[in-house]
Amino acid sequence: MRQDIVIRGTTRTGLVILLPEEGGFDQVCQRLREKLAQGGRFFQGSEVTVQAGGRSLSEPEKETIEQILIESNMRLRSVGAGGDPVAEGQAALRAAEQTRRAGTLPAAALLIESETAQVVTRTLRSGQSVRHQGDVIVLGDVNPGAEVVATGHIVVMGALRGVAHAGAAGNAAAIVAATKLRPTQLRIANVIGRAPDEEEPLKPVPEVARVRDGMIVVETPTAETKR
Amino acid sequence: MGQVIVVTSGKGGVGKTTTTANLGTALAQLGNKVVLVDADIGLRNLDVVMGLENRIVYDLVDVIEGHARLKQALIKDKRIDNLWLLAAAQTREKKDVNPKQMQELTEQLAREFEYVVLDCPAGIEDGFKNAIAGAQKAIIVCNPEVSSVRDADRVIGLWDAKGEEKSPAMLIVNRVRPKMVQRGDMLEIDDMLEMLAVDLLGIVPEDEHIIVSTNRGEPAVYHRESKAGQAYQNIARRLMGEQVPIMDLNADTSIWAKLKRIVGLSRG
Repeated sequence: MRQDIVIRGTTRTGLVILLPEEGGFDQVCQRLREKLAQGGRFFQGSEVTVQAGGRSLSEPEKETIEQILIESNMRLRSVGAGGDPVAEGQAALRAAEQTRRAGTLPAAALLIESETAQVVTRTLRSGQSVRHQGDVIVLGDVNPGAEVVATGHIVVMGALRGVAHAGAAGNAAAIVAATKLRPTQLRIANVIGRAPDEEEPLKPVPEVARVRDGMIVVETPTAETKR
Repeated sequence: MGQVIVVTSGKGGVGKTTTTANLGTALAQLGNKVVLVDADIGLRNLDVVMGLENRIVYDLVDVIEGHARLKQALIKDKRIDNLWLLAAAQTREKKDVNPKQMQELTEQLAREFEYVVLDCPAGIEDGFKNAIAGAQKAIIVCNPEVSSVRDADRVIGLWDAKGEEKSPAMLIVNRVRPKMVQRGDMLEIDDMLEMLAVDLLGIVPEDEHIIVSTNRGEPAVYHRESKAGQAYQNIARRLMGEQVPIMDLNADTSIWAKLKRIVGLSRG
């Protein structure tokens, strides 16, 4: 019996929130608010599938849940009537395990499980932030003070001068690529690299940053095929 | 408990961030344990001026919202060991923080540091209220021009109206151009003091070094030849209770004056 709300990230459908099988609806709502508040900004912008577990939700109740999600800047994708939460959970675990294993594979064999990529067709200026479950492609620049956070890869068709965090959910196989790679700071999974304090002349070629031996290294995109 | 000092002005562009960076660095150079706090959420600059932008992982809002511990968010300066920075969040807003939270944060910092120096945003709205919430001392930065003095007066009034225990505001007159003062084209510092009725903490001359050092992310107090840097060093010593005479900006740069300085006749 599940007694508390469970929030799980899956690679295909975004977040899944499993409601507890016990307790009144008001209690569930309150607990959901708490859980989302704990997660802070991490959940923002997520698409959510709610699995109601054993309970059957009325329309007003569904709307209440949707409202709670909207307050946390999340979008309700669907409400599953019951389903088999255990099987769902196991599938999610398997998917997470696959992603984890992908992190240990050589980068050449890298294929992050297909998630929809978000395409940003403008320049991100200071203070602007894009967060996405999946890959992010920016057609424009990312200026200092702007940030891109993605659970997958980040590709910038332009100058990356701000902060980029790829593989934000822990995938160390994620890459950050940019036409001009001059980031303030790069993060891949839980590895952090920062720009050298001394200015270096900008290489006029596109570059890719990835994690090798626990450190972020920057290479030309063709380096991998030559290895 | 350390001192919590807010650097504020009302008006923008008068040199709050430059003052915070240089004063903090000077205090650290004098052996104090110092933390600089950028209270300008959404328009942070202090990290850039200090040359620490690329080290920010967690910021002030992360600490207040509980995403990071204070220790994790404190960035160690790259030049001096006893200087630290707590950066502002860039992708958030002033309203994401309230004065009570700021007060708790600065109290926590004051337990660890001898000086907590807050860089206040321009304006007198939420950001200002947050920045002054936990401060016991206020440094008002003012340029020798009418609009800046007007705003400084407004801010001093708001500081005086703040209920809790605090000391009277202190004034730094920044970007003074001696030649213009001599010609009478700039406000006289005495006139400003008379109007604002506060203690003068220091006078900082306009100095091209500031622009260079800001762009390099290296406070001017590191440059011996920078007059502004010297002025900030004097201000730091005054803050520590030392009696340091106000720098004489009229000291001319003729050969005779230089000679006098070398021989030690001038207080330069």
